[in-house]
Amino acid sequence: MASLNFNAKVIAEPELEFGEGGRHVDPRFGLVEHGPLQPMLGDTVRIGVIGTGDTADGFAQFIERCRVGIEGKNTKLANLYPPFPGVGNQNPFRCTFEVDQIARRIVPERDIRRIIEMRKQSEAVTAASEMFAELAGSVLESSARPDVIVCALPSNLIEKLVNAKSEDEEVEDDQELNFRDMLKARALPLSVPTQIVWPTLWDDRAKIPRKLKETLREVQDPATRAWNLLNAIFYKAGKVPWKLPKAEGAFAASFLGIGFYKDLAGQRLLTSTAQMFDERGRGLILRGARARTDKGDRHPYLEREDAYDLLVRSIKAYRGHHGHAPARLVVLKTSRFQAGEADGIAQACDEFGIDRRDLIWVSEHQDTTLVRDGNYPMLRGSFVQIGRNGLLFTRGSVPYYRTYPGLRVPQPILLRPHSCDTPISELASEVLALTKMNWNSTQFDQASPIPIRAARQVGRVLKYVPFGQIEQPDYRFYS
Amino acid sequence: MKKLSQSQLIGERGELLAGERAMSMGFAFDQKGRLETGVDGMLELRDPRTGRTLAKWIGAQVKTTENGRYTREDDSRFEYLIEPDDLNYWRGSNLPVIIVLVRLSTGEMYWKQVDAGPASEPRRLYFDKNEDRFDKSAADRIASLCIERDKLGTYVPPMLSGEGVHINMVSVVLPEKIFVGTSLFASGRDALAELDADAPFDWVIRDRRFISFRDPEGTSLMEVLDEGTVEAVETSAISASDDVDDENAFIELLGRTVRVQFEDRLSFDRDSKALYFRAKAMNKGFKYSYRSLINETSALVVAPWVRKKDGKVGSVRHHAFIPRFHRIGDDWFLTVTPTFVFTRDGYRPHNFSSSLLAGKKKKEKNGAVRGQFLMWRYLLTGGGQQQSDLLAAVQSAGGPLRFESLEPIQMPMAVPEEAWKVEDPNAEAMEDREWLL
Repeated sequence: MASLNFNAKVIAEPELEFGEGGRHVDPRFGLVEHGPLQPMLGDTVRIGVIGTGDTADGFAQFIERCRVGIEGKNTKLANLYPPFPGVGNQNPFRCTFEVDQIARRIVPERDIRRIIEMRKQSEAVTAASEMFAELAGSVLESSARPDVIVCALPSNLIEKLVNAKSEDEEVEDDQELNFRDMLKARALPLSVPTQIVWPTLWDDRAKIPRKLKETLREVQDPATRAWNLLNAIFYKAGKVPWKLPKAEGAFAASFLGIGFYKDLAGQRLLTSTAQMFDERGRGLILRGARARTDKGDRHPYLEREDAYDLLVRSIKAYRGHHGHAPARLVVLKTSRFQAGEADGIAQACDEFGIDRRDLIWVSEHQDTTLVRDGNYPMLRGSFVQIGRNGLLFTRGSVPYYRTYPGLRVPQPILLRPHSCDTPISELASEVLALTKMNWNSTQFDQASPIPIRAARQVGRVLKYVPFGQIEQPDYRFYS
Repeated sequence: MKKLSQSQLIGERGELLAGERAMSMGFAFDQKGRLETGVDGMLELRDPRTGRTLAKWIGAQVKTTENGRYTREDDSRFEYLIEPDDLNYWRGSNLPVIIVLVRLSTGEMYWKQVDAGPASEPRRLYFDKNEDRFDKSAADRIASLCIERDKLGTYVPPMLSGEGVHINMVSVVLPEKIFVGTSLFASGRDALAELDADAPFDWVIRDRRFISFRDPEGTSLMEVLDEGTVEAVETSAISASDDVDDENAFIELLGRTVRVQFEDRLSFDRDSKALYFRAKAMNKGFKYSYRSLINETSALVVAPWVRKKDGKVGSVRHHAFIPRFHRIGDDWFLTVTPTFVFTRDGYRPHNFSSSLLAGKKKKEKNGAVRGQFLMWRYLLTGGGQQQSDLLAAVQSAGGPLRFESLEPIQMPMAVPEEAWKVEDPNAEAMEDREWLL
């Protein structure tokens, strides 16, 4: 048998930092034990709601239910399905959540019906997102200033909007629109973060329409729903639940994720980027220039000048925030770097005196994997070096959960350094930690590092924003 | 006269051996001193990565025998009856307690939690000589005794038992020589039009340069080549070239060569770029026999699915894999990504192939991916012959490329599967019944 030196290791689950410097690997345990990174003691997060009479009421009732606490789903997997302790004594967020009556807008059933009766799915999505955005605008014009606006959709509308195909096959409708992304895009000028919820949030018996089941994951247990909802709202209200602990002696780094998306017409390929400024996950969104693709049409890239320009803007944004340029810059990209592109990045770094640079192609759909001899898949954090590249399992069996919290066999990501000053195994540890900076879930075994995930989400929303319109720089409006 | 009894001596030897073994498993072990009454020592858990002790303790009582036999002992199991006083004492413990049985003459050691006896006869412990060995393989199960079920947030890191895992690759042994020439045509596509439809397509032409592992001299290929330009050169001139175009052309050549090399058994599906087992007859399945890690086994690699409503074949599922060649340093490897191809009858493509595939993939488990990989590896490496007879393998593969298995990769930490599956409600769903090894 042939053998290769694989430099195999299992990266320990990265710790997160919570209130008063408390650390733990798990967001939920950390929040209960230490509170959020930025507690707003005695403070209130004000939530505006837009929905039908039923859904607005259902949502308000769920927030009530959260107040007293919700039992965990499974005592045998207590760390994966912990109870939600409520917002009383053991309040994980150390603040209260209130549905503001003044900030409530009821959508008349008549308007819902009008949308449902539209023939084209794309028309319905456009009408619905405009309607919700308009109502959000009217909430903001009132005396209430909610921190977050929740859009509580009724089941029949969801069925219409999420269903991928137009019901009438004869109606030509080749433009599939996404309601969530379009709503976020429409709400960008309002500068208020939004959260979409379904009746499955508050109604344990609510059924997801059968035709959607294929595309959607199972409904979570009530405690998990409470954790994820309140955490997302807390984050969107402007607070940081947890951060990555800063390693002693570590250089101040900026992480830049570069993703690509096609504009609505499907003609132009554009760059969306998300930058993580610091270990708190504070970020900034930058829209990049038009992208090119290589011969095989598989690897989008930026022209040298565009890459240079994007990096200069990114570094200036960092400097505006911190007063100095970062000591280290990490660029994570979902496709291969081209020489000119890397040159453009290097030139920008040179100009600002940034000596430490890591350019990594994060390949998420690749074909190398590892299999164990048992029934459980590989441990999350399993890492092997293959030549210059690093294979990393960001999903897999998790010792803290004592199970594999997934359904499909997990696929590792391949980290392919273009030019890196940091050893690949250290970069892998950082990437693993960055998967935990996703505040839309309190389950920590997320697949993608946040700069990549954020860039992708931003691209999905920017697709609906005409090029040239002033952009919201804050990730909260896109997540 | 000072005396030390034989039984004291035996007991002490057993405790020292058990303590040494516990430390080799990665635990801290403290033998208790003179005040010991029913627990000989304390194991403390330690994070094997950092060495940090975790303030989680397990009491251990060691029972040693020189060479005695246990109750109802045979090759695989035995029983052990705990003293009533001992059990009462341990039951009041605020820590988990294990009993470790040591037989000095053979060096055997077994362990069990003291309250593992059946409810009807709690003092009787049933030992399995394989599962209950007190060694590295038990470390995770022993550590998991420390998890407080009712307290959120407690867990123990995997102990350092380690395990070997398979990477879904085989290494590619290249022929020493490669044939290079100049073509009359700019690209393979142009040249192909000039050749017989059934001529093997295991060569590449890019920018008029021809490369192939097969000597074109004396074949119809010469019709598209510039005579006199063909020469055999060291394969490494191209396989180890730093030029991106060389690398891409070489990857293309490897892909075509592997298709031709296995065309007696495997077909190529253009849509999914997968090689799949060809049916032997319309609507008929067949089994492929191979050797997995240890066992002779077989898999239904072409499987017709009969519709209930009319008893006709609705689709035929073919085991398949996507071959992809990678260069690492100057060496070449083939990754094997197991998948399936669906046909209507064994031959004609199926209209809903991709949704059938998605349905199949969704249910797939770790064991299935491993089983399929090991099967393809067996086929690619020449059915296990290469170890005994290299030449035979080359001949049986019937082509220029040879494939070799890679050693399993040693991971420093294992999934504590045995410890987890006791309580994990998902454990059963992770079993794969189709690919039991």
